[in-house]
Amino acid sequence: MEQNDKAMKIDQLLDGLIRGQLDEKQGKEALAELEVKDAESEIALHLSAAAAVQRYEILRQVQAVGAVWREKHAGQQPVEELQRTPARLVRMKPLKMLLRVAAAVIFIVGGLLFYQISTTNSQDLYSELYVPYNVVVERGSEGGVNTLVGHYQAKEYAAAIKEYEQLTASGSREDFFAGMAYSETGNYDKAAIAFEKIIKANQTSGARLYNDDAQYYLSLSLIKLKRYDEAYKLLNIIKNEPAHTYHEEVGRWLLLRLKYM
Amino acid sequence: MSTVIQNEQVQAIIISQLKETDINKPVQFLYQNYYEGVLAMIRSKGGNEEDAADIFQETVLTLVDKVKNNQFRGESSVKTFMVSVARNLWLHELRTRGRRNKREVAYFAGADVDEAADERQFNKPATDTMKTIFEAVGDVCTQILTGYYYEDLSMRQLLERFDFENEQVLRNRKSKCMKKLKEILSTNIQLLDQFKTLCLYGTK
Repeated sequence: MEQNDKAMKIDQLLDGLIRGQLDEKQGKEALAELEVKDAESEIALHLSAAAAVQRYEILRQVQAVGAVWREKHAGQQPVEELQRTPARLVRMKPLKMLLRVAAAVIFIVGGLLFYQISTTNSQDLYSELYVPYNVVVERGSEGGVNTLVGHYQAKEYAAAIKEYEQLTASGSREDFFAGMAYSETGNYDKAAIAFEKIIKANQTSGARLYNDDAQYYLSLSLIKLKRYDEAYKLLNIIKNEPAHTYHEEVGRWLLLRLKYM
Repeated sequence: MSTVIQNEQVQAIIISQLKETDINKPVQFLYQNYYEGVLAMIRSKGGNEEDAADIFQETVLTLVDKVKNNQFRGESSVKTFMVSVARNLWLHELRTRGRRNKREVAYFAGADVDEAADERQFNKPATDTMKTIFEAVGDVCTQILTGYYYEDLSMRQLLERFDFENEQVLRNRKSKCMKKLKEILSTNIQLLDQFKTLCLYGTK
């Protein structure tokens, strides 16, 4: 216990020297009183130990920062290599790569586009656009309109056409089913005339009876007749009119191909 | 002109921060700004990334030591100091390793190697030994001694940090820690001789 107290007193004395609370002379005298034989060596050792503590702490802090820094920058391109390469090229490298990728993508997309457009024909577009028209009319026993619609409903297209051609006067309804019957039998010229008649009549009267249907099936007939520009304009109107009955049927991709046909 | 003033201001801040007890921030700045340059220099003189990491750490420690001892007078910029110290340390390292190939010989012929590099207190073997010594001293002892000798804390301030019964118990523990450190140091004459030449940082 006494030994321990003495060691602590010596330690305090030496710290007093370090912290300037005692000068060297006072320190040595006090150490002599505590029977320290070689005061000078004791002071030197104490100072060395304190210096070691200080150096170890800065080493610890610097090592910690260095470790974090190296971990963060591991795998990065060495500066030397960056310096060897002209700076302009280093900056250009990712851009060049990006441009190459972009060029490849453009080339591939362009090629695909060109292939699709060049291989698309009127039949392809017609098939893509064709939607069967569902009649919501009961088959009548009497002649006239109901008979015409009934024939169409029964897929008796020739009979429907015959019925239509016997009419002395026709309205939008007869014109539309006649147009549809002509389409089904491959008479696209006559079908187009019938649909155009409806659109014109509506433009004059301000009505919209069978207007959406006539526009859509007219565009199909025009495609079959290879009147692509007219078909494109009509389908474009439909695409740009969200309330149009056939708005959803017209896709951008189809319009694009049609445009370049 | 404004860039020069800006650089001087930055340098003054770095120096001032290196005098503090927590030197993480300025050391981060040194790594951020000067590591790549030192790495490039060492690689151009036959070293690798590991060499650069060791030399850079030694360079930073040398700068910190000089700043804390008020030996860095700012006659050269921090950057110039770092690059020139790193260069000298690396050349010294090459000489120590005995790697005198033709290129190095040619380089040495025109190189002005600072002989002060012979007293390398922060080279890898020295820092490894230091680490071993303090591992033997133990974590708690190292923390107490660091608080007292590096942070310059009083016993009362230290008591707030550690879970000791009273100041007397802490004083006793600190004394034992110091005794243990001195005993270990006494067995490493080479390191002890080196520490004997060192000044203490900012003690009152």
